[in-house]
Amino acid sequence: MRHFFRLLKEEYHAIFKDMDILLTIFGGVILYAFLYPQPYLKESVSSLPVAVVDYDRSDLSRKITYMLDASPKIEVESRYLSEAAAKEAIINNRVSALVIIPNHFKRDLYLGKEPVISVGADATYFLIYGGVVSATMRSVITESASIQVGNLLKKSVPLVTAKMQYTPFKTEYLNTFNVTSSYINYVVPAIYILILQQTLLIGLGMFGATQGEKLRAGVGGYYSREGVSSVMLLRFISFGSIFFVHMLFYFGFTFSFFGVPHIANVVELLIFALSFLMASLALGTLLGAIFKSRLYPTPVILVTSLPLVFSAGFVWPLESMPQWLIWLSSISPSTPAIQGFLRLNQMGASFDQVIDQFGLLWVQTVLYTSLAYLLLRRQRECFKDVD
Amino acid sequence: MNYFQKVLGAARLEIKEIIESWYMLSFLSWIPLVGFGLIVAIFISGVPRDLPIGVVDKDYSRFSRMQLSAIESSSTLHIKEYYNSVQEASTALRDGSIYAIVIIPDHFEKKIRQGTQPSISIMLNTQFILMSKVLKSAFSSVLLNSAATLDFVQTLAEDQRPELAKSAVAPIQIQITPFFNTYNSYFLFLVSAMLPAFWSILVMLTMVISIGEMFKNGNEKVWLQSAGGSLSAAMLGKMLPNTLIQLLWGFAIVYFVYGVMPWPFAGSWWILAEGLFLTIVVYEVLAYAFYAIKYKYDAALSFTAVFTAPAFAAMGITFPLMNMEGIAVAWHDLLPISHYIHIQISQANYGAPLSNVITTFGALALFLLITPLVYWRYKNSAKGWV
Repeated sequence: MRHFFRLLKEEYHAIFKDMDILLTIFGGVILYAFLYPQPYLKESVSSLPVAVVDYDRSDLSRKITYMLDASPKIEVESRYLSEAAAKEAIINNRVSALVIIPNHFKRDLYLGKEPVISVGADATYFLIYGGVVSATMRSVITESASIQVGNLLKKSVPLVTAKMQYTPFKTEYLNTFNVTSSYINYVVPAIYILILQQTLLIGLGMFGATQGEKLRAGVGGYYSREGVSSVMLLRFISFGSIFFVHMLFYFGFTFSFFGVPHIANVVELLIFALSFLMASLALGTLLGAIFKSRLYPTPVILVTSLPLVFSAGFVWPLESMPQWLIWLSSISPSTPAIQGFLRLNQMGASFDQVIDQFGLLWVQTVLYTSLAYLLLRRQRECFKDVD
Repeated sequence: MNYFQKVLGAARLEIKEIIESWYMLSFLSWIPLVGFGLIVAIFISGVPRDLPIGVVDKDYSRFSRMQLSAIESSSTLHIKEYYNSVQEASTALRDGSIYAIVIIPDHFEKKIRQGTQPSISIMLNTQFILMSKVLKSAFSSVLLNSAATLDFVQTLAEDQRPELAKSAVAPIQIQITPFFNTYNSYFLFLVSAMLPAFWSILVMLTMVISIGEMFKNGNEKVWLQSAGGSLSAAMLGKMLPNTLIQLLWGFAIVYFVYGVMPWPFAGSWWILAEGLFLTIVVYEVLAYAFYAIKYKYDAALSFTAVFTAPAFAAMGITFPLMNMEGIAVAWHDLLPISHYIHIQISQANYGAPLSNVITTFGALALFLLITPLVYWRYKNSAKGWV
């Protein structure tokens, strides 16, 4: 046992004197924890500038303009008096949408001619487009409804009935899990998983590759004296302990710091986190055995990040992805981990509802650990030949 | 040997090194191809289809079935399962097997006939924001239509005149026109920005690898000699092959989105090409700079990874720049690709004249102000090479 602790000390020592590994597994982890949520701090869009082109200039059109301005998502810019000027302003990103109230709007309305209010919005940015369109629709529909109630009243329908009758049934939407539709709650919990995995894979990949390089050069050390399984155990413990602390920091501190809800049971969360950690450690050890140089892990892991984020199923539905892609993405622990963590911690699923993801993480762990063992043993045999 | 020949000399050496290194060759050829291919494959369906939803129908009447068949007929929505209680359904919502629950209340039909306006509740999983937005707009268009049909029929029964019945239903009409992404396609929205983000990572990475591999193999002397001893010619020559290859990749992805896919390209391909070119040069100068921070290959790779990895998040496409603050805006501005994407949108979507994006070109050009400093760093260390 004393012997094992001495080895562990050597292992930690080897990690902590490698500045480039430290830059990733501490620098990257801490920097991204605070940098990544920055764009989403305002959580949702507000005060989007909208140009209203009012050809009618009646009290009614002014009322609609006023209602638009009252919506928190919209801020009316009435400086643009013509359609052309308003379109130019969209191109220059000064306004996001234009609302056109036609000539004779009020007159047509009273004649029962159904005047049309046109809304043109920049669909380049979907969040802006959605915000503008829904806010405009709401204002116009509300106004439309009050006119409708007025019409019904004229037909001498009592007010209470009239209010109800403008549409035969209502639809109400209830947001669940991320009640405020906050972007930070949407992106951050998932991205954090990927950051943890990628930094771990780079660090462990570089560390393993460095020892492989040394073995091939005939340079021995504690990693060549001990058996392959003890070396692997050392690595799981050293990197595992470092990233366990990182995980506590991410799930404990930064979630609260940025006000991201976390509703999972702590024990269940830890059990799931542990399986994610094990799968990542196994994959990292395997990559460390595969890569012939410590220079390879960073570029290779870096280019996998974007495809991994978007194939995890939280941005784009898995139902709309090709099946082969879903299989391919389940090579990476981040895929089941993102799905499982979101269900447990954001959506309040019970543990048996993430059992598939949990199982997949352990399949990965066993598979990658065995492959890593085989490769490392072969590496060791080559080293003996050098001896 | 004139200056131009010196640059070509270094470029020739660079091409030779690329061809001899499977590693560099991979990062210039099949790795980008696979990466771009995967991103395209994820979003290839363009709009989400048949998203699974659950239904709790407490009324089980002709009217409730009418609403449900209207929902099923939407290409976006697919009723996966009927549940007996809201509780049962919300369990399924939690494990992600359905994205929304439609709840039709007791006495739905009776209340409509009485005119007491029942309400259909729809529980959306807003943890998945994009999907919940798609679902909400599909639900509202389906249910608004079917409510209007019901209302129309009822008003018609009272009034007998269809035109009047119609305007009583909706006295003001709204016509919504999406500008610039007229198909409202998520593919165009996400992929047209994601491909350049991925490309920017590669542009900088390949240059860092090219510089790093040279120093690792101790070829810096040969490099300088290939350019007749001129450091600036050697640096330019090294950039030349990478610039051309990345320009090709850049063009390929933009052409794929706006040429192969059916999206219109409104502006000038020339302005776009200039944007691509300038972006590449900026990233290459940054690659030289990052390497020169510590003159260490692995440190340069780590810096590059930290710098380029979040490109897509800071671009301001998914979450708009207008609503970003402080650090996020600074971070957006520090990434050359954010400026490039502005040029791409201005050309592809708006067809804006050059005068409109000249400040963006200016912002990109500002990065080049570090060039003398970078050159000076290499000049200093070059003394040790001979």
